[in-house]
Amino acid sequence: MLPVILEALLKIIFFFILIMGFVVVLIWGERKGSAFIQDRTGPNRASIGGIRLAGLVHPVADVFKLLFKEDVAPSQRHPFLYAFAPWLGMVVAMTTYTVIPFGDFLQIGDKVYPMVVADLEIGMLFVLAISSLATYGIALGGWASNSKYTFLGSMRATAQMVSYEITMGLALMGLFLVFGSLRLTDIVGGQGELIWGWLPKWGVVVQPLGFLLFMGAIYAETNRTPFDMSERDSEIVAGYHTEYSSMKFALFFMAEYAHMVVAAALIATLYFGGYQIPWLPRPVLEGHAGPILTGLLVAGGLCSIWIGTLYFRRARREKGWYNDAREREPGVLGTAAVVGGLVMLGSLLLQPWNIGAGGGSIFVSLIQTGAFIGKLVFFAWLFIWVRWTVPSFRYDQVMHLGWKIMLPAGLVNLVVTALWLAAVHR
Amino acid sequence: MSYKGLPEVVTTRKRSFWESAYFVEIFKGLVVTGRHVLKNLRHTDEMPTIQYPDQKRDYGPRFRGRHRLTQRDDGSPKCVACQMCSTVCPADCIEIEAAEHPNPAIEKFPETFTIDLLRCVYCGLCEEACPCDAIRMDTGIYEIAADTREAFIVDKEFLLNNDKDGTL
Amino acid sequence: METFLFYFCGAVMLLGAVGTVASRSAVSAACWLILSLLGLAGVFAAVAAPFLAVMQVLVYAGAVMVLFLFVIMMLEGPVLEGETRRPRFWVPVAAVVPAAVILIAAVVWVRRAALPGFSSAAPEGFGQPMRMAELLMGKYLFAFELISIVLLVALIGALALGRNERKLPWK
Ligand code: SF4
Ligand code: SF4
Repeated sequence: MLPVILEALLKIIFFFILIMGFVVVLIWGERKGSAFIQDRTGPNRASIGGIRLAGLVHPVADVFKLLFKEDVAPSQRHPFLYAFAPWLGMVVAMTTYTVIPFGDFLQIGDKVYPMVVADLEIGMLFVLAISSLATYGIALGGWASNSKYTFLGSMRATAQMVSYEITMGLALMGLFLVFGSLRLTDIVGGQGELIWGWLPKWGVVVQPLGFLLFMGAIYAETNRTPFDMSERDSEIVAGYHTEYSSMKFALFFMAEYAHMVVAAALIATLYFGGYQIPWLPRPVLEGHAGPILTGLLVAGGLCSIWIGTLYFRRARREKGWYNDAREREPGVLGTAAVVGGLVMLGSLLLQPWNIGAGGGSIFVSLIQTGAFIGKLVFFAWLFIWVRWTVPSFRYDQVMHLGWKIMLPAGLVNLVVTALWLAAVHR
Repeated sequence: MSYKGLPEVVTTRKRSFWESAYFVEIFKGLVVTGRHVLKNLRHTDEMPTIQYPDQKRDYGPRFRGRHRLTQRDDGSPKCVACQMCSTVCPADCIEIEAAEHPNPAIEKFPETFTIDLLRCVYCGLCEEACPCDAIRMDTGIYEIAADTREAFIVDKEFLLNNDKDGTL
Repeated sequence: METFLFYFCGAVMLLGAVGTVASRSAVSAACWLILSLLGLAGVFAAVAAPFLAVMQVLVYAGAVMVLFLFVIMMLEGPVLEGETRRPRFWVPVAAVVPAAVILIAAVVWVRRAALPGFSSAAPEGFGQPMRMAELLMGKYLFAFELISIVLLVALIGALALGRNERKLPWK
């Protein structure tokens, strides 16, 4: 009993740190990404002892600012629901992670730990059920603030999320049919195969239309542009969180990004093979663990040293620009990069090519988790990228698209998939 | 559809199938913005942004900054308290109290000369109205900030030695 | 553990039900009802029927109640001030009933003996999606389809009733 709880707790802590880290990075990515898309430089001023990390310190500063800000609340609010709603979104976003596999399994000694917190039989339904509760956070928050803008925001969000949940379910059903399971580990496992020996059997390959529908629906579910009906600032101020301030606002804000991470993880897991690396299944990786690790260490070390020299060059160029602590930044970062690179090269002395079977297995698990995180990062960036590229829909267009185009398309996709599978299995 | 028989002015083009399918167009848009990102990642230093407190924009010589009062050779203000500037000022923010100048050739001088910088709209009319070239806006100072409202009401001494930068 | 969970979720469910009846504003009532439904889902989960539990959340708490809330909020508008008469009678009930259930659950849990009529040993595959699908699409196919048709008829009926009288096709 106890080791099981401990194991689950460790995984939960891993996910918690992963999500919170991603939330910070995504907030930074949103600011910096939007800036670069619009030819601006973005945040670059907040610093800790002159180290700015290209603006990564800003979210940290934000946290402290929001923690110590005055909590201004409307006097006619519903006291309990007003305080409760921000938590709901956050809790929901955090709960969804429990069923997402971030790796195959981790073998330490003879013990095998599956790299998922709870491998439920009904995995994907669990995700759908929990994420359908996310509507309440927005709906109740907007209503409890007792203001027309928040109310409009929450009404729009509710209508939109309820509409697109159906499309999402239909799009997923095709996927369930193909992989024959609701369990996320089964779905990911099935995506490790190859079709005709060369095409990875990723969800996006076997369900292209389903993927597009799921993409659209999940953008609507996370309330991101082009479906940002609930917080369209040009129409309804800030939508459902207009009346929120300080830490309660921060919770809404973080929940939005946590939802984005969940969505990105789901897209990666369901349609892009999760932790699977195409053409390199686990046995192949395990067979060549030593050489791969060595290669990675050498490449990483050389890259790191190269980045360090770039920083040193920047340090020379920027000498005398600022005349304060920021002068130090390139030097410090460059030193860190070079030292990291040297450590990586130095670890070659430990003969990583003789890693052995046990170590190889652990190493492969880590690589697969890395692949999963890499996919996650890409899809999270896609959320940001799309937001700053695409204009958003009008409300009637959202409804039109959801009910009259995506829903029938989802049905067609489901029927075609079913017929095709029936024909194949006959 | 036309309004009162008038010809329709806004013409709508019929979208092709791939345009209304939306995903293709989104992809094209992503390529455009993605190119901007890559360009800016590679040439971060060439962005048009001016890193304000570290770098400053160069304004033209005619830029109207904070006012100053010009001085005679002995350091007294050139101003003869003719009230032209305070009369022409659209924001009514110059206040001058005249006093008799010991030198009979000069007639008057400002006993007090205050400008309320919060009310000033930096139109430059005072500068143009002045017959003696006594008030000028050529300091080029545009960072006008202070912690209190009172600090924005600047007096004669301040305006005479007006070469300080930044806060009041 | 399951027994404790069962009675705990049952208590939550009862609390939600009592709150639904006792609350002043319709939105609060709906929120209590959601809590009650979530408690029910917990009960299902505790008796090893995860599919039912998830469906409970997905359909009732996640979709039906959202629509309920939507309509209530639309019609009610701002926070209710009327109906100041609070049914005080329910307050002690709301406190006592769940407390009693939790107490029973604790006693049962301590004594490690299931109450009569509740056996935690579920048959293999019980409540899993595969089994549910086999039942719905096999044994109870007719009833299942019949219910779908009833729902469809209800849907069309609601549409017909909601339409403008004069525009009805047969008028
Ligand atoms: S610049 Fe214009 S507003 Fe300001 S003091 Fe001169 S006349 Fe008045
Ligand atoms: S117009 Fe010139 S001379 Fe006349 S009061 Fe103003 S500053 Fe002095």
